[in-house]
Amino acid sequence: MLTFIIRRLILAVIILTIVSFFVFFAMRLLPGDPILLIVTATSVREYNQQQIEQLRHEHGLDKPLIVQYVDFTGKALRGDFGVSIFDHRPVRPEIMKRAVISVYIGIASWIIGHIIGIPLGIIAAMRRGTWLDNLVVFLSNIGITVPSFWLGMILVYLFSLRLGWLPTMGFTSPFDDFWLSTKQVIMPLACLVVNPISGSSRQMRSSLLEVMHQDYIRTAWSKGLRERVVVFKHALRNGIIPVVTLAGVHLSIIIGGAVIIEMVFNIPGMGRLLVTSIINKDYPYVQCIILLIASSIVLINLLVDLAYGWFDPRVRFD
Amino acid sequence: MLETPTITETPIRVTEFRRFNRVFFSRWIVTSGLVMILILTIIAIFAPLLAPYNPSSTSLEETLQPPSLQHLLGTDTLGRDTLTRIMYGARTSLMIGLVVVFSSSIIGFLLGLVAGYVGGWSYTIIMRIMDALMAFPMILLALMIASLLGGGILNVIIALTVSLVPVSARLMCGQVITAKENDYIMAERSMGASHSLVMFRHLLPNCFPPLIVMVTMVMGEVILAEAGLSFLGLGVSPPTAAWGSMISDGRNYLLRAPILSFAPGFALMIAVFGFTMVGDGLRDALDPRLRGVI
Repeated sequence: MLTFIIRRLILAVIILTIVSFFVFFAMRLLPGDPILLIVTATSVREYNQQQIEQLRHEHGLDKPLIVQYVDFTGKALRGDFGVSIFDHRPVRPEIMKRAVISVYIGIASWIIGHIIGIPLGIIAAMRRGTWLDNLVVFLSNIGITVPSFWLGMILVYLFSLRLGWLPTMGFTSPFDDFWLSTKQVIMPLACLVVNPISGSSRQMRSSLLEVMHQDYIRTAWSKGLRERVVVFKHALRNGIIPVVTLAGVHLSIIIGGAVIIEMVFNIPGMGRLLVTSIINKDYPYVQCIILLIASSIVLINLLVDLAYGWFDPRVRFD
Repeated sequence: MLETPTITETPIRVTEFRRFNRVFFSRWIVTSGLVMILILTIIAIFAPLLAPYNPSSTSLEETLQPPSLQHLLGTDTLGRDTLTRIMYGARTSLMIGLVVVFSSSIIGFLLGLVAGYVGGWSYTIIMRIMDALMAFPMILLALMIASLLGGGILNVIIALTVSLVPVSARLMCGQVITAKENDYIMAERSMGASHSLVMFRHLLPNCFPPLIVMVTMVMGEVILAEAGLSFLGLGVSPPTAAWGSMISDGRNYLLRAPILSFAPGFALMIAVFGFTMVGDGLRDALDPRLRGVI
């Protein structure tokens, strides 16, 4: 198991190196110059050629690309992601501040999604063919296809504009004003939660039904065990494995969805910063956020693989 | 009710096609998905004939009209007919979806085929790069590439294609690695078949069923991602009708004319639903474990 983890960590380093390489060079080789963007954006001051070169030099953008890349990785390894080209703030603290918000919303919707979705799938499988099962199947089929940003707008229309129960947008820390924060976070969470609920209930239902046909379950029934014991002690342990895989995928879907949802609800999270920095070509922010997202997804995949071993002792890590 | 009294020991063989049909159409939700796709396709192809108006003809006297007999789904801020724009939006979505799925599959399958069949260094290099690309949610990767290239249909297609290639490459690679262990491949080789013949004539067709399922499922995701990009303003550029940008445009008039956002979003959901359900049905119908059983 330890060799497995070490091997996977080495792989993770390779993947992240490739990612950093891609991000770094893609951002720089394609058209668009951040310095010129700043120069044209701040029309108050006229820049002459010398000042432009000066700015370029300050941000280290005049060195050869390969030197810039080595500089960047060296500093990144020490946790220094530089200073934003656009607002001149140091990148790391700003991203940390926003990452907390995104992680809070992301993890909350991931947990809520599975807490609701998995039991729904189990119930549907146990009551197969009933109206309850049909309802769960129908709703989850719709749930995996509904565009989250569109759902967000329907919710805003209903609950903010028509009923006036919830604020249309914004984010407040739960430590500043718990009630307002909860009210603001309900709709974004609802949008992000739909996909994991539907996905996990669908997967849970179908994999449980598949397991229920196996011989060892028939044995359990014929021993006279109660339904609860058969399902929860015997069937679930095998049935949940595909759901674990999907749970990892859901986190990645939530990270992607959160970018759009943060734009819809005007939440000052990492996703919104990413979109605005990409548009402004603010390299330091983009590089840092992309690396952060990539490393968290690589880490999640590792955790998912390790979780198999816990759920399924037959899995050998070699 | 057998008319001939012969007793056969083997069960009656069901032809592949009949079995496929029976499984595929056994779920009404799959059938309805197929119907939705067919309707959308017809609308997309014949949009110029079916649409009541011109998608870009503006009329400043008729801005933000509520649904009426003249404009079944009302009009937008420039007085353009919403229904017409949704019909043309179907064109944009399906066209982008098809091109992206087609091109990314070809590239991905080739990469996966080479990585899986040749193995060794080519496997390591190709699959590590795919892993790196897979470390992003599809929409994010597409977002990055689209913003680097700028808006416009072609750039959206490139962005989505690149973000989909790893999915098909990885699937193909896995398929090939299992399939190449089969005896018939070794037999082919020992009869002197060249590597490319083995890859394209024998491995590729045998890996097909799961690939078809993936292609259908992914079509829904592509349409959704394209709408997401257009929604963020990084997709198809304005005068062209696209569902994502229509939803986004309607945002500012949510209270006055909610249908401006709701209607294109509904069309988008129908499209994604259709492809996902058909993919689901195909997966069941092509499942080799059910072969010869039902």
